[in-house]
Amino acid sequence: MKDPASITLQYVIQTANSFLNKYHPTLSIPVPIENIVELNLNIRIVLIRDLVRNFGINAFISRAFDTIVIDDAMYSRQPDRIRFTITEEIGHLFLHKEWYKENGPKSFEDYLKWQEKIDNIIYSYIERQAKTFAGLVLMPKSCVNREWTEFARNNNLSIPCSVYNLPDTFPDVAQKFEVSAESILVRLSALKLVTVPDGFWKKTKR
Amino acid sequence: MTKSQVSTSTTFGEFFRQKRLSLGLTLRAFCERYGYDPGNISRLERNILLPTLSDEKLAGYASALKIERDSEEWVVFHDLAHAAKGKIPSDLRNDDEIAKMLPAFFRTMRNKKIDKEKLEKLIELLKK
Repeated sequence: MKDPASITLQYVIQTANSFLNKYHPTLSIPVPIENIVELNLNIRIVLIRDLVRNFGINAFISRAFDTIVIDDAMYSRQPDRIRFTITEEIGHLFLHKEWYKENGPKSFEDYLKWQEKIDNIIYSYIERQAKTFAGLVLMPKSCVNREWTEFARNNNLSIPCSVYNLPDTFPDVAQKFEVSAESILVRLSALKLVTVPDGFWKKTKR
Repeated sequence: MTKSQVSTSTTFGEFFRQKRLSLGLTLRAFCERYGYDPGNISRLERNILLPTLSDEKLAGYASALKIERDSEEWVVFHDLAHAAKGKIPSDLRNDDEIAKMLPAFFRTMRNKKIDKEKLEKLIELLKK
């Protein structure tokens, strides 16, 4: 059981690699995450209405870690985004379940108090680790390297190239992985295949 | 699944889901292949939405689930649909079940934690 504060990037990478080795050793893309979740892990996918509208969240994994609840409309209309979200929730299962079982609320009555008292810093670690896990699983390093090398060759791009030199066809690479263009860019940047200047993300988010 | 394999506690929704999974189909794949609305199938599998008793619609579900007409599974499928019709959906979910379905981690995009009012609202949503 690892405390979220002590989970390193290396540990998240190892966990994601173990996950892929076990559930998707062929590393074909797109990674069939919904198949893995429902058919291999036997996790129930439950769709409910208005989750985004009422709570501002796309999805969550249940306290029992056996169900992922997803906003009904988003599931149908934004499958690529939901793939990422589902994988984040699986990240919680593989990275945080044991810690949660030990330290999380023990009863329904305790639930609200626990949510209230959990440290915001711990929460931000938990969320970031799950997000990183999702990126690693949906965009395996060897696949990204292979696809990017081909894309760069076809578009006369150097490696690394600046984000500002990316051609309009750049989202085609994201499509191969069935993730958003932003997600693949984060991954490319982490793998040092694309250079992203300081402050770039702040500018694009505004 | 034959009649002898179906426990007395099996519901229509659970039977439906197990059949779908046994065919190797995710919720999305099943709905895309047969043109069903994923939200409705999800609610059907959770027994929130009662199954129709229309022969035509039930036969459509059965066909999608590869249940052969007049087989033992066909009988079980129809029996469970009729049994479900006699139940009140909300009675199928007790507080413990709902409590287990609450989010392990809950923080909204606006970085707000959940309060009691929101929790009650979420519980209501989980029942739908």
